[in-house]
Amino acid sequence: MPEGLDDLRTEVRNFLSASYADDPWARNSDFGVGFSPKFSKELGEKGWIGMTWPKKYGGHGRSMLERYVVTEELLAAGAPVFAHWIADRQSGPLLLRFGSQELRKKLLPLIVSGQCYFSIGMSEADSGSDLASIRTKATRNNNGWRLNGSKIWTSNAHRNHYMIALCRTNNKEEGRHKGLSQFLIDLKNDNLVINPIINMLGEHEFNEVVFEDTDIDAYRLIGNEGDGWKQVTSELAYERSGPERFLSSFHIFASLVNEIGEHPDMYQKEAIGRLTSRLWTLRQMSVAVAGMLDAGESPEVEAAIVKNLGNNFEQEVVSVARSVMPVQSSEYISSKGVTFSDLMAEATLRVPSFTLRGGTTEIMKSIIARGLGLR
Amino acid sequence: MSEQLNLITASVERLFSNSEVFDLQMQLDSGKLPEALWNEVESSGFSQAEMWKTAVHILRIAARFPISIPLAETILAANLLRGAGLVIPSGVLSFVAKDCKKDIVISSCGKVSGEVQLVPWARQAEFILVIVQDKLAVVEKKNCNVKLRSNIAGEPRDDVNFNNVNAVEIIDGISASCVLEQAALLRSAQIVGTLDTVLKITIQYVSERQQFGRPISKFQSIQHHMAELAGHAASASAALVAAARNPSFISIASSKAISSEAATRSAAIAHQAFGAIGFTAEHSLHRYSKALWAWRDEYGDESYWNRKLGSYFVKKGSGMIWPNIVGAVK
Repeated sequence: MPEGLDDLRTEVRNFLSASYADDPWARNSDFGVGFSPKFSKELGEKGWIGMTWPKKYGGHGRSMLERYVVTEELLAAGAPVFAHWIADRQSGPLLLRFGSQELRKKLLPLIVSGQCYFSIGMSEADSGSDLASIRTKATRNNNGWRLNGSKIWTSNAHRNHYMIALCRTNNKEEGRHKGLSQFLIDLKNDNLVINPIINMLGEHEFNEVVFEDTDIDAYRLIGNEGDGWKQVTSELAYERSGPERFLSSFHIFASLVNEIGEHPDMYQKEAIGRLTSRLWTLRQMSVAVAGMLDAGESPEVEAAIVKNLGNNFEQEVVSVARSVMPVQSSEYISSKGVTFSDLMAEATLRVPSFTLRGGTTEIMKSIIARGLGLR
Repeated sequence: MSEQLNLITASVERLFSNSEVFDLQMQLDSGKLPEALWNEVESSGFSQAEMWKTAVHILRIAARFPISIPLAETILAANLLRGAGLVIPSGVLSFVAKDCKKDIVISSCGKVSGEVQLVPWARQAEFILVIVQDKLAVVEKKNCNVKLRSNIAGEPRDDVNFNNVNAVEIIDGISASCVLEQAALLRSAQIVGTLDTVLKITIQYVSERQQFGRPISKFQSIQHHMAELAGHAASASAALVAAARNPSFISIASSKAISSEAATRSAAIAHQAFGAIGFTAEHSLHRYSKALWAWRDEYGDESYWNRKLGSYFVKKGSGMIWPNIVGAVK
């Protein structure tokens, strides 16, 4: 990390402790848990959303590394960031790169203010890892496009404002990766149905979003017709290398250290050290990828390595904690874990998703192997 | 700086690739130093390279070749001498660092006594630097008794009896635990250089080796092994580069723990990928895997450094983990 970021880091830490003291949020370093429009709006006011975007769209013209400092501090503190997270991380950058002037002017300042939230519209019931096999169709009509099909695992579709949906716009073109396009979907006003899907912790985060003759205006096409695959791929480097890919169980790690106390046995010492050395290394790798993004490179393979190792680490934290600090599994109660055993119960239920979301371990390994020239 | 590192890379590569690798290995196998190569390394100034960045870089590049020479040891000793304001003699240098007085003692009148096991390259060294707690004594090797031994990679690791020898120089205010950290980082650099080559030759092998009518790299299980190998190489490299840029207890401990663990897993994956040919004396893979197995344990294996880190953070408390990870402790 270059010098000069320490002041920003201190500012973020001070803001977080004040915010926590003012109105305590449930600490949980998994970015996908805390959803708080109030908190997101405050972050927007601090200038910590859309940090790297140009000023003419309401952004703050700061570097990728400055953004990195803010995001990692938010996650390490377990702040409730999920409301604006997707918009800030990938939807905004996507609009900046490929969106029309009209869409940029309309949406980016809203995102920056922390009051406009996005969902990802990629997976479908029959298209998970094999994203290029999606079947949701967009066909041209008089004023724009008519959509038919459905998206699934759509986090927060029921409370977000927009979704960027990847659709098939041309069936006849050769090649699976051709004929795909991205569209802006207005989750509040378009003619569509949002069906809740309750996850195994009993939470409503996922949804199914169903399009049935859903008509949208032509200006909702993002980028060029047929460029959807290329655009989605560029989104993924942002999605995969950030600190949310190795900090999701940091809260458990910190609690483990508390629980062990001042007189660790040899195995507990080694476990804490092993988690520390791995976390320290993962962060170095992730920061390096942020530096590459800053330099305008597209480090797809590096991002896949970070995500793969980071997700393994997030799961390992929980299994290591279990092996050196045994707890009886307690019933999971959604209202804030208090004891270490409550936290472990929640973490145990949450970790299976870490190596699935944002691309599975198996897909990451395939991307790495391709990068090594093996495929 | 990066331009300078590129120049160093090119010249280290030129030096090592010009040498007759096979002859050198035969000499090494009989415990001899490849004199001609060593002389070139000395005259290029590499054996006195400055810690950290330059030294770490040179050792990484050198370790990409299957030839071992006492470069890390000489560099470390040369830096200690330079730091103490002493003249750096030519020839091989070695060192011994102990943070307690159990095995070896430097007396107040400047005599060194005791026996130390596994001193790297002692038989070739002109001088051995003995660091006990906070004292450094420079000893002429010719006055010591040396019993020849070696590590699993065949590198000289001799037992040295110091025989109450008079030190040539005594310097105060040097920390043995700092020297051990420096040694750990230099071994990390050698591990990372070796991993660079192991990854390269394993990719090459699985792309060429045909079974069931196609290169084995086309099989998903092989691809996943290779992705794991690449992950280990990338982790060890990232940790090393960061630690060399900003050396501290945490960065060095992490780097050695990560590279030692990476050494273990990577050697296992590479041997699995190469199959029987990799298990032969004739194939060069064992030059690299043996080096990994030796270096992962020298100057602290992963358990050693992880336990040190663990003890440190248990004392500091959970609130200090994150500030230390990001290196911004208020």
